[in-house]
Formats: sequence, C-alpha cells, structure tokens
Amino acid sequence: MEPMVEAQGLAKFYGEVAALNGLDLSIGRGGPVGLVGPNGAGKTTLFSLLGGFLKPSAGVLRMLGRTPGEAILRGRFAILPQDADFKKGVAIGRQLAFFARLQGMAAAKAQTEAERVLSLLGIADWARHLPEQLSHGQLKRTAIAQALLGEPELVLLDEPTAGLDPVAAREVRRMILLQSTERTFIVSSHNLDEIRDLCREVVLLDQGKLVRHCRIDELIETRHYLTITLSVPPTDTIATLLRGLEGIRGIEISPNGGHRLLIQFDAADADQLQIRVMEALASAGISIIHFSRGQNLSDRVADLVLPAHPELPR
Amino acid sequence: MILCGDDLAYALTGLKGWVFLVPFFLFWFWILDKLQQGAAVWLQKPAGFALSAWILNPDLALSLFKSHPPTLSAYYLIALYTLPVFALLGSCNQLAGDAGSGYFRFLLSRCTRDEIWVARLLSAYLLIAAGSMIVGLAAAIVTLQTDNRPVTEVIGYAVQINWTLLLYLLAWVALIALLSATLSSAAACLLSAPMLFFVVKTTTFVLQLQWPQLDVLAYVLPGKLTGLLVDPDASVALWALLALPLYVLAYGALAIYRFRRRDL
Repeated sequence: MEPMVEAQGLAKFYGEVAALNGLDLSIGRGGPVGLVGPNGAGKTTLFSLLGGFLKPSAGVLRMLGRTPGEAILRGRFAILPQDADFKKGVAIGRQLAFFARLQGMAAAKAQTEAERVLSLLGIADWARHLPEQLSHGQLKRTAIAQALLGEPELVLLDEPTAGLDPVAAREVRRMILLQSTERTFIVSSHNLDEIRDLCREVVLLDQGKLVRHCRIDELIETRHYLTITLSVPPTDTIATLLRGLEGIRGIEISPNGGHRLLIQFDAADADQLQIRVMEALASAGISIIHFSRGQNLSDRVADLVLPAHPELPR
Repeated sequence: MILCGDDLAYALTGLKGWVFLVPFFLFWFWILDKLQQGAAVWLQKPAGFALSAWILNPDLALSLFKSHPPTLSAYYLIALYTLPVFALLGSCNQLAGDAGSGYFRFLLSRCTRDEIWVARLLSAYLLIAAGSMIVGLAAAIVTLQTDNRPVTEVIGYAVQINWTLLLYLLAWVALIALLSATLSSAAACLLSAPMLFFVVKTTTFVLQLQWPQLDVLAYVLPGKLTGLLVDPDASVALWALLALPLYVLAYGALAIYRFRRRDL
C-alpha cells in the first residue's frame, strides 16, 4: 500500500542551520502516529514541508503519493499549523465555511460542515465569535476544528494540546481517538504520556534525523518493567529493600532527585510481584503517587536522544 | 473565484479596503468638484492654454485641452500621476500581511500558491479598477456638464482613457504584487514601493550622467510610460499602451516565481 508520508534524504536548511538533515522516513496508513523529539529536532519543519509552507532544500518528500503543494492534494490532507492566525474581523464560523468551500463544498454544505466540526470540538457556540475575541486555547481548538473539515485522509496535528486546559486537552484526545478509525493522524507533541495513550507508532527525530520509527510497544518494554513514582525521592535504602524481593532483576533510580523508580523483573506472575512491591513500600512508610506497568516513554526517548547531546545534564 | 470573492468581500468590509477607498474617493470628490466648477475649461482659454503650454509643451497642451474635452483630459492627467499612489494603497496587502500572519497556512491544504497569487492580484485589481471606473464615469458626466462638446466625442474619449488607465493600473498592481510576494507585512510593502521608485530614479539619474544611453533603466517602472501615454502622436501613445501588458507579464512572472518559492 502507498505510504501516507515518504521522505528520502529530506533536508531543510535555514542558512547554515539544518532543521532537517537527510531524513528518510515512511509512514503508512493506520492508527495515530506520534512525532516526538526534543526542541529543534525538526518536527515542525517536517509538518511545514508536508503542509507546503516550506520548500525542501534537498531530498524528496511525498505525501499520499504526491509532492506537497500539488493541486490534487486539495482536501485530502489537513493540518493544524503552528504560528497561523485566523483573519481578524471575520467570524470563526464564516472562516471555516470558507475553508470548506475551498475544499469543493457548495455554500450551504460548507456552512453545515463548519457547524459540524465546531460541534465535534464542543465549540459550536463560538461560530459567531471573531478570532480576536477568543483566547489562545480557544483559537487552538478552532484551528483543530478547521483541520477536520471534509474527509481528509491524513491529518497533521502540530502540538494539538499545547496551551489547552486539561479538560479541553482531554476532549481533543478523545476526538482524535474517535476520528482515527476513519483517517490517519500524525500528532507532534512533547507530552509523551499523550503520545503513548493516543498512538500506535512513534517517530523519534533528533537534530533533523530519524532516530527511531517503530511501534510504541517495541520502544517501551511493557512485560518486564514497572515504573513507580514515589512521594519522596527514592534512596539506596529503598532500592536495596526492593532488590531483596523475589523476581526483581534491577532497579533504576531517576537521576537529579526525581521521584521515579524503574523496576525490571523476570517473575512469571507480574501481578503478584506488583503486590509485593507495593507491600514492601507501604511497610517502609513510602507512599506511591503513580504506578504503571512498563517502561516510561519519556525515559526511553531520553535514553535514545541523550547520547547525541553530551551538553545536556544526565 | 471563491478565493478572489472572499478577499474582495473582506477588503470592502474591513480596513484592508477602506485604507484605499476613503482617501481615493475623498481625493476624487475634491478634484471633480473643482473640475465641475470649470477649472479645466479655463485651460482652453488663452491664459489657461498659455500656462498649460508652458508647463507641459504646446503640442501636448493643444492635444489635451483643445483637441479633446479639457475636463476629461485634466482628469486623465491627474489620474495617470496619482494612480501609482492609489494602486499602492489598494494593493499593498495582496500577500504580505497574510504571509506574515501565517494565515496562508490555513489555505495551503485547500489551494495552490498559484491560485492564491492570482486570486489576490485579481481582487486587489478589481477593487481599485471598480473605484477608477466609478470616478471615470463621474468625470465623463462632469465633462458633459462643463465642456461644450458632442456627447459621442466625450463618451468615446472617456472609454479610451479609462481603458488606458485600467491597463496602466494593472501594470502597477502587478509590480506591487511582486513586492508583496517578497515581503511579510503590508507596511513594509507600503514603504518599499516609494523606496524602489527613489532608488530607480536616483540610479538612473546618476548612471546616465556617465552613460546617457542608460536612461532606459528608468523603464523598469511603468511610471516612465506616463508621458508617452498622453503623447500627442497617437502612434507613440499606442506603443506605450501595448507595452503595458509586457510589464504585467514581467512583474507577474517574477512575483509568481518568488511566491512559489518563499517560506510561508
């Protein structure tokens, strides 16, 4: 099947600075894909190239089998861009209806479609509002709504929940999950818990290059790890206490005074081991704030990215 | 068409259009009021004609104020010399503002850069052209009231000069489209156009002191054709008129080349 996104030797330079530098990537259809990486990894640049906002300095980029910017892609993909303002002085509903008309809908259908996507995000009441009357978070939700107009096969969302309140962010995640049965989402985010909850696979970029592209369950080991966040920073005493439990193979304490413990185990019965760990911590008078099976995605991403950044603290 | 219509509607209902419309119509209301009071008819009379012959040249003055209805000729001259300013006011925000604000990012998944460029050029042109047509019609009506000329002559001359003005306008709007495709704000475009005019004029002046043949550099801007468009020799005026589409093509090609490649 034709890939949704395909890059070969893709590069984008701003003067001497390489935002993308020889990126090779192929993303197929299916569940949501997370695009992650540290600041300056090239995530937004990749989205901007796909959206046709930027032109590649070198290499090949194809989206839905076409070069970004081709007329035939009209309405087949949608994007939530960063740093894009709606037109001032024009009601949100009218602007969305205009976008829908550009996608080929008749005026009446476009109006209905604008109302539909605003309702989908729970913001139908804002249709008559002007952009300058909305807050940053409200504008972000409106911009997400415009990305859902029509029937795009591919939806690119750049930091969709950044700047949203927790309730609005949850609504956006719920919407992505609901819609992802009908279209492919590529979601860029620094919120790796969100990526883990939403996405089937993850693309990790760093310094303009692909570091890893795989299924999330290939990146984070779920069967033999427990991640525990304690109420106090874990000490060597706690680590020694847990190492004494049957089936524990290793303990990693998060550096720099973090509260997280990563426990590697080989016990056949993971559920019983979890209970033993909790009992041991309770007996030592230590409260658990968060307990989850598997490695933490943030830690795995850091493991993969930090070797290329000797300047960053370990 | 949807893009063009939306932009035109936006211009008519917002600051983008009114920045042009208000000064344009105020200016022409004032000028047409003066013309209706007979300011141009006076140029037919000996004293007025002597003055215009001294300022312009006798042949041109004769052509404009004796051979043709003087009120329409006065309108034509004033329109030719003020049109670049109004073209700049009406079309400086074709692309630059929305490129700077990132608004085009909402459009690029729905239309191509070429479509955006053409739509914006057309909407800016139609806005100013509509204004010019209204003023041109008003000038013809004033001429019928003030100049003692046959109706057919006034109408024929009005059609001729308005067609010329519309073509001349298109050349200026295309030049401003080139600036707008390069810059990221309407204000920058508004400032850069006079600077470009100044640079071309100064450079040409300095260079032709040493190499007189380099005065052709002044033809980089369509303003150089103004004098030719009113030339008493009809063949010269016709050649100048036929050169205007070349300006449109040259500026248009450069502007679209730039807009296709720029980062939005």
